[in-house]
Amino acid sequence: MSGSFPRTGRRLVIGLACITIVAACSGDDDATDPAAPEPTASVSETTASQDEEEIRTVFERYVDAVVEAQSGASDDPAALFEGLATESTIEVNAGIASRYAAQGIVRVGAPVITDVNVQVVDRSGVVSACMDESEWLPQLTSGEEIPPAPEQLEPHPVVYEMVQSDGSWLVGDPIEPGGTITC
Amino acid sequence: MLTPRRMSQVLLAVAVLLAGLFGAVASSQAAEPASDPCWVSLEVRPGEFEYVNICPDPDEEDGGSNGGGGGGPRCDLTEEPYNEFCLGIKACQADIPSPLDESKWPPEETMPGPDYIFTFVRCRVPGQEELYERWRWIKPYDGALPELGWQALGRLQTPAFTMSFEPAGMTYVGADTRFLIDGIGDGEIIGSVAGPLQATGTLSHVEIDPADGSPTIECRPDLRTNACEHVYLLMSHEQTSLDIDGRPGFPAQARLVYDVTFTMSGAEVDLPGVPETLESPWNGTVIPVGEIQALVQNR
Repeated sequence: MSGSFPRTGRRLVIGLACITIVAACSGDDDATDPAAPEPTASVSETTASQDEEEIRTVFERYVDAVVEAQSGASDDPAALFEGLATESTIEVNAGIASRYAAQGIVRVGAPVITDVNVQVVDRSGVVSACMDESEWLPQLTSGEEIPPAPEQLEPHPVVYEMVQSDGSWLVGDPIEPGGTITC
Repeated sequence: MLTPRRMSQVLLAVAVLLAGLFGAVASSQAAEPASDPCWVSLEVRPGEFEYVNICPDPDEEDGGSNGGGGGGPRCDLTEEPYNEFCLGIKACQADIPSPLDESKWPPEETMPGPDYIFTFVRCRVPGQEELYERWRWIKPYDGALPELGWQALGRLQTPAFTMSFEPAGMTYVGADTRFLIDGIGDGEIIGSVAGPLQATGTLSHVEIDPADGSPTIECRPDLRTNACEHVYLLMSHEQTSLDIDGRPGFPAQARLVYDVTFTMSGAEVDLPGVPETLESPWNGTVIPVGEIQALVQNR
């Protein structure tokens, strides 16, 4: 278990953060909804914005690492995620990269990331973004192309739990957007 | 000779070919490059897609996924944990139940046969140091069925029910108190499919704890005509539980007990180690028990 922060507490915090992200992302004009929770005042505004900035940077570098890992250019894909992602997320990414390498598949190009949104509450954070994979296509080394899923060809939501570990933010597990975030 | 497995492979190949032809006709002006029907894109984690080859490897052509083909296993099943089943010459272990929700599995027409599940497998390949790790359709080997049975059991939901008693409101020492259960429906509950398995529960009986220290009563499910009866021999004035009117009473409770059966392709299967009964949570009501004489004095 990471840190001393109680898991239920963390889930609640993530839940609250999700709600605020959803409110921000879906563009409803009900911006003054009194029920929308504000981030707590336990973190000073400066720290909060610093955290947000750090999370944005980490997420950006994480996406770059995913692209590089799946491009087949790296001999040690796990190393690309060092300091950027939690162990389980590193493991998943390294697994995909090694399966691609073993089966002669590379992904060419890069996804287009838009609408990055960060919420930080105390030691937990959530980052959401829209990802368009239409310029990040798979190819077999035989030259054949593989059809992407239709969702991949248009901007689709990605949401990650961000975990603070030893003073830095790491990309954790993805969270089901639940159809409430529109891209 | 066309074995059923071979037949299904041929049919699959024909289906894939036809689908390919239709696809080619439909998008002729797009002039798409040839795509390999073995590859699909799967959402393996929320928002994350992985391109996965779902076709068997060449070494698996005869053995089938469960090593159930004639001639016994073709792989060395001696090294834990890769001792569950053979994929061709590979000795494998599978995540069962699948970590991937069924809604995210590849299209059903790619399923090699009935009763397969789509999951993550890890295998030892002879003479190779690296593990073979893939998403695959597999037919759960016999030893895996209990795990799936637990999953199927978990998908059985007992109904929310309420308990009441007669005489309503308050009963008396020495009187017959009848327990009534509402909300049990027709007594049958059916779970959603878990891989190849489905669990069905049939109400066996209702357990009632009168809460006065006497043993639990078992009642027949048809409570309308066979209500459970109990005779309280103690007044409840010293009880700490209060009814809705604030009177102390015995916190009686009931639960529903179901007999569970598992079916695979419509046939009942026996799953060693998986419970054959399922109990609902306890639910109850507070039963004030008075004494007739005391009641007369109070009036």
